[in-house]
Amino acid sequence: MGAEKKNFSPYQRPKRNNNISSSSGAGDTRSGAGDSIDPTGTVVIFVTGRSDMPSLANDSGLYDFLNRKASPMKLNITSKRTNEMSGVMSFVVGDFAQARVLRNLSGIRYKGQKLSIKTSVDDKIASSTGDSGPSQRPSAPPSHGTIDAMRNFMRSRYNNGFLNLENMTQDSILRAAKIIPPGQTRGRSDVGTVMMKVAAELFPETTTISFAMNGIRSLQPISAVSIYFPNLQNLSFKGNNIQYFRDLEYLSGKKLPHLKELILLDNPVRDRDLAKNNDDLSYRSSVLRLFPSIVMLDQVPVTNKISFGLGDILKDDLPEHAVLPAQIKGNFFDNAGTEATALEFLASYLKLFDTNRRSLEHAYDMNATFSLQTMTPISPLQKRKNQAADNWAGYISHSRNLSKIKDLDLRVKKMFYGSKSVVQDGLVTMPETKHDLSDASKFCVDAWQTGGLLPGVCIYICLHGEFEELHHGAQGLMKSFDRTFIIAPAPPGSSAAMNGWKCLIISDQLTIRGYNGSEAWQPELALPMIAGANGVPSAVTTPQVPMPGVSAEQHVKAQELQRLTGLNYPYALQCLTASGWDVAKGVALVEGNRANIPADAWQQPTFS
Amino acid sequence: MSDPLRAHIEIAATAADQFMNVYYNLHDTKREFLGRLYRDSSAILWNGNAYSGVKPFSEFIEKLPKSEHTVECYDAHPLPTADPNGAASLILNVSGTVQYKNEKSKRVFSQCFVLSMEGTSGTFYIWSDCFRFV
Repeated sequence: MGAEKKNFSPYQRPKRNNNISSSSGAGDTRSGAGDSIDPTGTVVIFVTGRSDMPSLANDSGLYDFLNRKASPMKLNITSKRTNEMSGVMSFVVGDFAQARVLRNLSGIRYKGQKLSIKTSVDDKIASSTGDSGPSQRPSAPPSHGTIDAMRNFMRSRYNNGFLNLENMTQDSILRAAKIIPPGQTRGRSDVGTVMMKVAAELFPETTTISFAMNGIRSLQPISAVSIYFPNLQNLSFKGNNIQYFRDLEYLSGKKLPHLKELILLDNPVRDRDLAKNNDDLSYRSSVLRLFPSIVMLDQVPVTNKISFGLGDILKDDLPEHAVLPAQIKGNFFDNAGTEATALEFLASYLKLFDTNRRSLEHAYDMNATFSLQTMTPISPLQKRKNQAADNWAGYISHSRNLSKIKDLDLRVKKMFYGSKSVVQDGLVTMPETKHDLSDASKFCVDAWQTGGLLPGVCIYICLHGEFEELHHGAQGLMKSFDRTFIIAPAPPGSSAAMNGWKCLIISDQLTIRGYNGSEAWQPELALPMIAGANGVPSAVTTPQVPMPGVSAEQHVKAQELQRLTGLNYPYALQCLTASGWDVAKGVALVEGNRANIPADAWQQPTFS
Repeated sequence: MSDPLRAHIEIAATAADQFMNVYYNLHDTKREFLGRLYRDSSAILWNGNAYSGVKPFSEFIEKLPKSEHTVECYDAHPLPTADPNGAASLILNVSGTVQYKNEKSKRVFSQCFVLSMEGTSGTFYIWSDCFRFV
């Protein structure tokens, strides 16, 4: 073995005795972790959370959290600082050992955020093989006898890519050499790291390791697996004592990017979750989030493995353009039938939503789904007007924002299912509202119908608009919203049909946001014409019934103006609004501005 | 007993999570690949403009200024399928802001996707996409 000739030791610096405590390595000439520490024997720690989440700045609970996690190592934290802009927290701990324990906590979750912990001595920690086991200080480096025993042990346990490290406490070679395997409370904290280093020297081609039956509570003691076997494909922890998902985080995420199979059978973390839920969905979902690359969990294939067929993507540059290549257009309907049905449905629905929500039970399918989410940051309009952020208390308990709600039980609970639950548990518990249907410009509707995916033909409706939030009938704040309905024809004789609904709601999703007005979807009438820049022309058809907010008289005038000028319906409405609903003035306005009217304002063939 | 609704919710929500990891990152950094998520049969609307076919849409989307999307929230429901043993599908609504290069202010956007699985392959594609500035 070449390794022997190199005077192999898992400790690269054999003289270091690891006792780098508060006295620091001053006066010591060793080249080890000790002398990286400044003369006061301190280490600076940076803790950052995710940039798109609430800042951890000034979160004093974080220190308690870190102290708990580092236990039984006692942290001596001083000089706490927070950079408000970057959200980076920094502080100083008493010695290198504390810094190392903290560094090894990097990646741990706190309040839903993954903490990134860096220290000023990262390179020294990386080059030190001492593990972070807080309970024990690594004592003297293992002797050559110990290393030789470990090598013999590994040789006895290796066969053709498979390193079988099961039930190590009963192993005669280890017992004879008085080596206590990783994960045992009375052992050296670095034994797992040393073992992995020895194993990697001997058998770098290892693809499979089993740590079954070792009484391991956490993957921390063997976290060096990812350093020495970064290409590992199969890993078993069957029959251990792993309690919590967080105890798996030491090897999760991208630490083992090629991991294909993981076995956690017969561990409390699995058994408890299965007993609680009567199924393994939540458990498997949590494990898959931690180990996204695996295709086999507990000897069962990961079903419905989700991918998007992208393959490898290498290029990284984009063309740069300063203006948007298509104009913003008003409502979209794929045909007149969709338009009439969608608008009639919305008018009836929103009226009852404001005045008699309970009666909407008839409008939902027995398997309908509904959920709402809130987009809480202040809107650009509110910012321009220097308005305060909204109070979301009336909605937040229902908000099913999946970027924050990760727990499957909550995801299930916050999606209302079935017409009764949708209305009684969902809709009626929300604050009262008033939608101003007298002004069509406050709403934007995109709707189209298709078959093939859902049973029968459905209409998809994406509605954007605003409502006034009422409090006991009193005037309240304006809110903007986005709402998506999937509706299907109400079967004859159904309670929907008998209550006057032509359509039945299959799915209803509501997003409520800070008020941002209706500017965003107003057609770009004033912009110069960009002929042919819009790809396939959109269908702009004339509805058979007035849109919400358009009176019957105005509807007739719009049709008249369309006939006289060739404008399409939305532009005819706009033109009439501008000319005070006088058709003759409208015609004059169009004739005087023909050159400035965009191509898509005119009647066009229907898109199919 | 395992509840089929719970299983459907789990698949839909997990697919949504993973789609969110992919879509806006591609849009902002590797836009020429975005078309791979669509099919020629996909129904695509961008601020009231309809696109038919992956190629016309890809050509349009590559003309958009360089963008930086920030997703504030998303929510997804499983959809009942025409064939109970057939492909899973889901409806996903996303809200957030987008900053285009050379524009002073961010725009708020709302985007609704229907994602459908190709057979039972596990590969999801965009069945429909309706994007709006709001």
